[in-house]
Amino acid sequence: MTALIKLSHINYSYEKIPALHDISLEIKSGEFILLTGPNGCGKSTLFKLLNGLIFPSSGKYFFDGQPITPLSLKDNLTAKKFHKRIGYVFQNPDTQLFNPTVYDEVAFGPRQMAFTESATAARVTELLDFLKISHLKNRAPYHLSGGEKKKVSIAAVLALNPDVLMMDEPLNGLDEKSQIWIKDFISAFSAVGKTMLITNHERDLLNIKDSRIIQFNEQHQLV
Amino acid sequence: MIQIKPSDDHSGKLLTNMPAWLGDNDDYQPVNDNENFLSKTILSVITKLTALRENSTAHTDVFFTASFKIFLTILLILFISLSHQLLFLSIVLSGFLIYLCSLTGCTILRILKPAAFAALFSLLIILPAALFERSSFFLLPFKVFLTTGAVTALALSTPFYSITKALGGLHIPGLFIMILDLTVKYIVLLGHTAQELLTALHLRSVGKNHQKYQSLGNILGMTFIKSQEYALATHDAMLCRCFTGEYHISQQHHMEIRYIVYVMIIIILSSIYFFTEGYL
Ligand SMILES: Nc1ncnc2c1ncn2[C@@H]1O[C@H](COP(=O)(O)OP(=O)(O)OP(=O)(O)O)[C@@H](O)[C@H]1O
Ligand SMILES: [Mg+2]
Repeated sequence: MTALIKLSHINYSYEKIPALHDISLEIKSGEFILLTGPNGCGKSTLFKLLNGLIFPSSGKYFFDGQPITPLSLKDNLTAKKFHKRIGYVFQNPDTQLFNPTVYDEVAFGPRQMAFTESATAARVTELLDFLKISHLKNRAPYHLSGGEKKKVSIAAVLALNPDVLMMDEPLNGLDEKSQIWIKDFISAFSAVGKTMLITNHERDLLNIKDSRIIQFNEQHQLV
Repeated sequence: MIQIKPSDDHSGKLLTNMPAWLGDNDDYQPVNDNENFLSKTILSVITKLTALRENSTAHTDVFFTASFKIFLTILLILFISLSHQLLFLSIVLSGFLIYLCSLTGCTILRILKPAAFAALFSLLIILPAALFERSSFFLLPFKVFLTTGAVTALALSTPFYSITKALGGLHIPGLFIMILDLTVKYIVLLGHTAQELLTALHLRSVGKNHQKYQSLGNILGMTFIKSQEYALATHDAMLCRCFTGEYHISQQHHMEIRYIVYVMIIIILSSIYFFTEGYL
């Protein structure tokens, strides 16, 4: 089986600050990847790159055999198809939520995918129930607590039903109950055969069977 | 009781590097500084923010949709501005008073205060005109009072998100509405950032701050940079959710009985206007 995600010799720097150094990586469909490493080693940067938000200064990135370049994502249809297949939960939910209500936030993805309003409503209601945030439906996302925002951003991403789910520090700022919920959710989601990439500082925090641990060092390289 | 476990293998190394003065207690007597400046700034930011926050959870009328309320408000403003008749304005005023009766005291005050203030202000401006024109000079403050009251009532009774949504129903382009929505989000978010930074400054202002304006300038600068970061990250978030330039606003339209009521209200209002103006 060919790799779903393939990176070869990727380098990336923010102006002069290096963030990724010679990264080569293959991820197969259905794999569970735990990305660890110290602060500032480039985990979030790698996620941005995998989502086609930034592009490597050198090296190549293939998603499902297709090269991901600024040019290939110029095409609206290609871009939509690519983004639909990858879900990305940001480290900071504040910047991820941009709709006036929680309902609209979760409905944004299905509406972009041209779902009918009733199909959208069904999907949103199920997701809000699943994440136990139905009571927040009509609230403004920017007034929610940190944990609530996190759940809303997860719901918003799941609404696209992505093949690959990337979560940047999903346990950050959550209470114990929510942490347990997220861990359960992560194992359930990977059990149905979805590909997952999770970052965490501590490698023991999430113990999922069959997880592959990828570690960054301070020199922005994989070890 | 918090216990610090020495199990972490880094802790020993960290402790040997710890500066010795951290172990001593400083004997510090603060000098007097005028804190009013900071507190006042913080206070005003917070009050502005709470106003927006309250609005975001404003009670929604189940019966009247936001689209109807916006349409009615625009129509009212149009008629009120065009009208020359005291009778029409008085009828509108009585309708307005009846509406006010259904609200809580606090909301009534929040509607009447800006309306009364605006009316008073316009009265002051046109006062000289009273010398020449006695009959209708007070129509203007009256009109100002009614229009300000109508707009405030709309704003207080309708959450901002349903106003922008309703604009979609009135065929205003989606991108324009999205920008409105995002702007409100940023006002709140940046207000929050500024407020947190101000609090941080306040908490660390333990001495005499000779550069109050510079500190405040730094905070504004930080807020500005943050706004740019938020904007970029939000754009990323939108791309990740398949955004490629079009923005869909959901609008459900079913024919309902209440729409007949809406039409009747509009017909009655229009007839009163045309009748009092002598067109009918
Ligand atoms: N927008 C930016 N502009 C300049 N430098 C940046 C920017 N974003 C990140 N960096 C730098 O790139 C490097 C990698 O950052 P990144 O956010 O990927 O780290 P991380 O592994 O996610 O860290 P953390 O565990 O703290 O989230 C860091 O040195 C950081 O300072
Ligand atoms: Mg990070």
